[in-house]
Amino acid sequence: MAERIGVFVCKCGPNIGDRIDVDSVVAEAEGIEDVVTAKSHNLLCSEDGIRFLQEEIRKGGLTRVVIAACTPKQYEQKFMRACEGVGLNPYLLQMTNIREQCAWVTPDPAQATAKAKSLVRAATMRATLQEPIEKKEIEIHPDVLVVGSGVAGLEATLTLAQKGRKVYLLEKSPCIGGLGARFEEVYQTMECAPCMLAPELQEVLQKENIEAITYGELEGVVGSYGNFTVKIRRKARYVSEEACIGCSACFEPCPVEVSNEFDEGLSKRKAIYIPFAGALPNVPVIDEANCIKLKGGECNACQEACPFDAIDFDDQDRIEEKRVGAIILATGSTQFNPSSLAQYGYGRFDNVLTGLELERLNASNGPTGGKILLKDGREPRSVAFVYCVGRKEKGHCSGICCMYSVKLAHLLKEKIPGVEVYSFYTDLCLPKKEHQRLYEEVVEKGVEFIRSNGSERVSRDGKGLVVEYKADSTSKSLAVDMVVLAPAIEPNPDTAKLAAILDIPLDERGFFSEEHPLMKSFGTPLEGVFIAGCCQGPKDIGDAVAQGGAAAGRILSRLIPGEKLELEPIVAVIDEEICGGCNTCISICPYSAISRDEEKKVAVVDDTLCRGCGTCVAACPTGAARAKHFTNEEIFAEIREVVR
Amino acid sequence: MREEAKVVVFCCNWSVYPGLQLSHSAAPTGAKGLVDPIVTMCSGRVSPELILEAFSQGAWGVLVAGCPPEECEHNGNYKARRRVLLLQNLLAQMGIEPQRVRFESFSTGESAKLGQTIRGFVEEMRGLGPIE
Repeated sequence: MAERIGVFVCKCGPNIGDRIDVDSVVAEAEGIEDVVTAKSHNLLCSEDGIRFLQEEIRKGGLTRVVIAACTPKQYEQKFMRACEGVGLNPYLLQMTNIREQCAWVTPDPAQATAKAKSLVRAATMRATLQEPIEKKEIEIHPDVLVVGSGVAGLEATLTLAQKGRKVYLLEKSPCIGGLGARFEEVYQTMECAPCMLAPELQEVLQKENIEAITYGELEGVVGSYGNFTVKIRRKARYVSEEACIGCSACFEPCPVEVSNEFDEGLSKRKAIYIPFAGALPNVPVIDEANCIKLKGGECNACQEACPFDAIDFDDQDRIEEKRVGAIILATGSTQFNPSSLAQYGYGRFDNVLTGLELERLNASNGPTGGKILLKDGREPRSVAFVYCVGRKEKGHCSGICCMYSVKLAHLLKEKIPGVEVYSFYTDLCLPKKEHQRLYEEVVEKGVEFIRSNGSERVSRDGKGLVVEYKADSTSKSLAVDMVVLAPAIEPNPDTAKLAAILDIPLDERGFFSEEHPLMKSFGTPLEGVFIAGCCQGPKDIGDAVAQGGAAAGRILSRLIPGEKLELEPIVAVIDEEICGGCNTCISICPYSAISRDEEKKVAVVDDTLCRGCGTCVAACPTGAARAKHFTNEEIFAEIREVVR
Repeated sequence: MREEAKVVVFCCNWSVYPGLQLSHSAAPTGAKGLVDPIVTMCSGRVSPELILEAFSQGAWGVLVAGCPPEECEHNGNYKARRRVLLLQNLLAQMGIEPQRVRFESFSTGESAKLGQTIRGFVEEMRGLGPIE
């Protein structure tokens, strides 16, 4: 049966009307095969225009509609709704842009009109071949898994939970709060970080619809947006979370002492421990690698000391499966280890620290109770900060080192009267509206900033340290008691493992690759998997929180309990009759949306994952892969008419 | 046969096409010839057969415009670029000037560059004339 095509040319007031001979475009359209109506309108996007369009579709029994007007980016959705409103499948509409593409860019009216005609012909021929596309909807599971409980993960969890969502908050370490919980004060407000986080942490632990799983790991994920099944390993804690009240009676008798990773190795902890005073949940964990009993030896010290019978040496890892609709990864980052850069002496000389180590020395719950001391117990009289450690090697500015180094310089000046502080820097990166202020304050307090452009070398001189550097083309040196390095931020070692589990890409630096660096920095190419905080790239607390909130918001707006999830209707399909099973499409699909049906030996597209980019269509050697709404035939028809 | 150069520009729906829409100020205006954009969901969709079809229908040149490196959500830009390079070799073997097909990348905001590139490409095609 022949199609009944209607062509509508919009004048857009004078925008098109004055520059293109609209009547002759209409006349041209009338001459195209199967066109039963061709009309112009002064402003098709107006209420009157939409009524006119709908009336024409009804009256003419139109089966295809071509609109020649402005850019489809502006009103295509509106026109699609208008078609849908009168029962015409919206994908049977084709728009062509004769404003931005003709009227506005082609000064000669005759040329502009000729071009408009060719575009209208192309759109009409294309429309004839277009097929109705039905919107697909799937049932969803509204629960969410958040991996990582730093500031980004916390914000995401609480935003979701406040809307009544069930959230599983999975944390690798025994306590929640991430890196932020280990800072005493934060830039630039100099607010106490543990105090800032405390209400959030309490809320996470107390809210009924949040299940915080500490000391756990993500082991596997199957499914797709709306319907993931995640496998979580709850590592054996050997201390019952129900029975333990956190009295800490078990620490003292434990005979094992190892260095405490939560204090950057600056303090000792027992084999049964909580990471630091005030860590939540306040339930210790037994470190199986170091516990005498768990290594097969004889010791019951903690069990005997526990007044609540909370120690359970028979505890085992448990694997649990949860169903969730979306996943937010907020797994943070780590610090580049500067010991590989010999010029800084880190790991070889006493009193060469990283910023994070100084953070812990400064923390009241840290190894020295908040006293900044040299290895021999004296207070430092002079401290040199070295910025940008590893920036060249890593190839990126970490964006936060200037801030925390300025902050630590400020704290040193406050805590140790008369201390001399020097800052060796290459570029200062303090971009936000309040960030300059603290810098100006420390300069006023006498912190000296020396632009040494990465020329610093640290050596030992007796008990002290010497920084040799070049500034103003002159070699100089400076004797100090302590050197604090600001190493680059690099991805957490778990990042690659998680990327493999979820099948999402990493960027060249090893951070999770975002869907779009500007517009969707919190998305990944895999629908339903979001990223927030430093696992996407180095950032400060404020930016991490914003991303956590953005990811949660995106989930709240699309994954709604009781509502179905509408899928992108423009997807690829693979004709199993033609498919040769070569797997080319599987290897190049950026969304892992294509899998192999082993029984039929063909490739199959998963509609929930496909985003219709058409990469597989271009690569398919047999022509089995088709892109809905962008078929070869449709594009050929367009080419033929525009080139004619 | 037309007198003007006939050029087809394959535009990616996300970066290039919106950029083209913004480009009326800096536009392909003044390009002496007919420049027709064809939109695909991603430059990765532009298969060699689409480009060859354009040539067989009489196009003088084909410009495949995709996102800049790192900016394509689908990484289709890399694939398009490689395909165009291969196709250039093939065209040369067929005795057709390889420069008749070109891959270029543009961000949404780079409408001035887009206009300039299209104008330059059309000029180049005018120099070559239609495919013999």
